[in-house]
Amino acid sequence: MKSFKLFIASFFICVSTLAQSNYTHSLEGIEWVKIETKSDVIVETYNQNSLTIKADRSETPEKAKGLKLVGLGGVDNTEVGFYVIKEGNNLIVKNLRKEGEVPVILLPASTNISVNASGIDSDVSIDGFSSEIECTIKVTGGLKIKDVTGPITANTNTGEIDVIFSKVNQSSPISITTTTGDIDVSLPNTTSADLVLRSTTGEIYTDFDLNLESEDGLKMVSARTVKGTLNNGGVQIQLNSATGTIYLRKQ
Amino acid sequence: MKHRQIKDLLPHYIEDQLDDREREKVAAHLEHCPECQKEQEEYKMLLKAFNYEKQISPADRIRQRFYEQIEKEKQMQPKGVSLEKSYSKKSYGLGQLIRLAACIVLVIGGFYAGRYYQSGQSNLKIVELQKKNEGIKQTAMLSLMENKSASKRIQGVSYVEEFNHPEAKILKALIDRMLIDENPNVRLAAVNALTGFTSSETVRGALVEALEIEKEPVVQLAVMHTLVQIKDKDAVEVMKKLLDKEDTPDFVKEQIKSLIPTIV
Repeated sequence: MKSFKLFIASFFICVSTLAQSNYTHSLEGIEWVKIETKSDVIVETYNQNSLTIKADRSETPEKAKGLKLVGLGGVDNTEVGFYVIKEGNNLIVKNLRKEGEVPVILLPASTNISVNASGIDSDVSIDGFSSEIECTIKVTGGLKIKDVTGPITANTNTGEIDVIFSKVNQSSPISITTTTGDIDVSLPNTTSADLVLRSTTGEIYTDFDLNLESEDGLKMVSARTVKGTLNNGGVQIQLNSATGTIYLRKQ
Repeated sequence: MKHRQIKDLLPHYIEDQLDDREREKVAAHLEHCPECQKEQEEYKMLLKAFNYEKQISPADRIRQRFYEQIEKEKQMQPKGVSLEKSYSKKSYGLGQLIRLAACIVLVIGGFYAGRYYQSGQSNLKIVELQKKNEGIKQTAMLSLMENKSASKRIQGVSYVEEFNHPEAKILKALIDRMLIDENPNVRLAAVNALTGFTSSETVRGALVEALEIEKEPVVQLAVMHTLVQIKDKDAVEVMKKLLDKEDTPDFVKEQIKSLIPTIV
């Protein structure tokens, strides 16, 4: 089944290369891949130890002949509208374009990634990583993360954050914060965790049997905080929203 | 004869192992010494108890097998001259028995005394280890808070729960995370960690400062709620300023309006 999927995938890659161009960069000595974007971006995993960007070939408009695409503090050095540079053990990947097909960035599942989206309505989708994920969406735009293990540190301003965990890495905390967006997190049934769910004016829903800590009456007056443990406690999971609703689901 | 010597002879007396002269002396002493009388009674009781105890003899089958085994063993031994050991027949009288008991008491007593002493020692060691541990924890916490990964920094921040009385150094590091960390999740975690230490003037001052400079509404609200909880009057001024600012989100303004009356 897997090889069939791979076959289909590679078939599509072959077909799509006709319209798209791939850019590849080695991950030798790289600890973190830091992606910056002002538009939508999709980050997925594959079985190679390098970074590949699949995006439209940069077609320079007639008027821009001989000129290079610039933006976000970089110049297109990839021919796919990205600026990629190694800084120490970070690989900086800047998406210079603000329109067009959504670029797909492929990385090995064990790469630590940090995504910083600062455009208007830049949606970020991250899929399949078993490493550390950091994501900040500054203006508008939502975040969809699936099939991951964490640790995750994510924050958005107005966008919804959806996270589906395949397993929860117990090594260090998971923190998800949004100002006005909703947070929707699905955890495997057997996850052990110490939970802190906080929404100042929004509601909190869950189908987990939370082992609630005794509530401090004073705290409840101003902030709505729910603290509890799952399966005898474990890694810290904090979900915070100022006005949004928090959903915590069992898978 | 002294009382002490008589006491030593008592077991032999009871078992009738003394010569006439000694026996008379002991008997004479016993008449006017209640202590020795009591001891004599106790010996007698002990002896009685020993006599009551049934001798357990092995079942015939076991005896049989035992001898068979011995035979086997004997045949397997290389033939040679065995050195004859002479055992002087000693009578294991009650006296020896008592001495044996005393030995056992000494050994067991010594063991417990040693253990007691050791436990005192190891308690000291535990305290030492805990102190050392605190030091290690503190170093671990401070270095985690400087980590590249936001999740690790949050982990470092939440380590503060491990300390009952964190040093000023730790509070300072937490304040730094709250004021200067680039990641709002870390700043939020730092605010929540500092909520437990609002009795410190420095912490209260830092919270007010955070309210002035913080741009992220979620963190702003967390700081505000902490300050409202401790009824910090300085916070009111800052909150009023935030009300006048244009870029303060409406829901934050609403929160401020509902919170200010609870402080004053």
